[in-house]
Amino acid sequence: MSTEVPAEDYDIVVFENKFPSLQKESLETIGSDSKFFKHGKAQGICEVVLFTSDHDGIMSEKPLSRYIKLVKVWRDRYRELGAKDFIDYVFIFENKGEEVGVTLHHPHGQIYAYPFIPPIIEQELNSSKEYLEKEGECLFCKNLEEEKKDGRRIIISNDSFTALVPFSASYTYEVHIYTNKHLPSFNDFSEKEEIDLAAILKTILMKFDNLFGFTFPYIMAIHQQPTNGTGKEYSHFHIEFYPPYRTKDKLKYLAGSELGAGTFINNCLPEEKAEELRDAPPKGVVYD
Amino acid sequence: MQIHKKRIKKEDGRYLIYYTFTDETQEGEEGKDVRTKMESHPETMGNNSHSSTEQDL
Repeated sequence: MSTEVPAEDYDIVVFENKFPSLQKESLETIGSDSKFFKHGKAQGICEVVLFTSDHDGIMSEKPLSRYIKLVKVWRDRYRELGAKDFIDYVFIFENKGEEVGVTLHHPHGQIYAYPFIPPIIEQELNSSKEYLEKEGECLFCKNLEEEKKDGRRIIISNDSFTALVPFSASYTYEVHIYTNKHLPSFNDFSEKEEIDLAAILKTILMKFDNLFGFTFPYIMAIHQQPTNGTGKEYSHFHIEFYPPYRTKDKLKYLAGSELGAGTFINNCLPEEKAEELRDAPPKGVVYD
Repeated sequence: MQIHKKRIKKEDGRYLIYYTFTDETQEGEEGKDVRTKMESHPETMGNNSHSSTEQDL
């Protein structure tokens, strides 16, 4: 990172990715003049977010204030990138750990600002829109209501957020964090909701790292309202974690059924995994 | 906690944004305002655009 960031000491830094998958300038497409093969311009913005200047830092050991700062930066990037007319979706994510292909250990995440709504998110939003039209309510609000009613998959909650292992978890220790209220995006957060998100994030990361006694790798994805003006009624802010470990020493590999048939095999009950995460320290939501 | 940002342009044309924070109620290592330290690095001062203007690079 020293080659990327001139200052030795900083709080949080965002910079354009040196090898971006998407580029700001509108490039002409190459490779095919076919009317059959659909293609488009790879226009967009790819950013890297350094969570701290502490190169060897472990986020679960950082104080709450670091998470509050990170949430504020995410909000700012969502607003700034989303305001650009060629951006339809601001996707904030983190790939953490060698197990998911990350070689850079400095605590960091990424942001891809796409000129379209990415397919998994589009499918999720279409399902929620369909449910809204049919049942008159947000699919995610209903899902959370049912999860709370059942209770067995809830890990922890505070005034603004609930963390749980979803009923249809694809990964053994998959965790979702939902806003308790129908909040479509970061734009709708109050200052309390920023703090509450920071607190539940820190708590979940502490639980992850305490589960097996090592820094838990994961892919984290933030799903929220597209920035093209659609979906306010059926987008519901949430964070999804996909940790690759299925036991302390076994990884989940995507194989024939997952990649060839789109069907995830999970041989664990989400209720049991939620209980394991509930039992992992800390017991309550951490606010310091 | 107030958020501040300072945007610079790197030699290869990419932008870089330093985020800093001020919090009257919080002191100490995590609550400090590091802007003073950042500005002591001369290389960060070239091609600065003031953060509050949100200037595109």
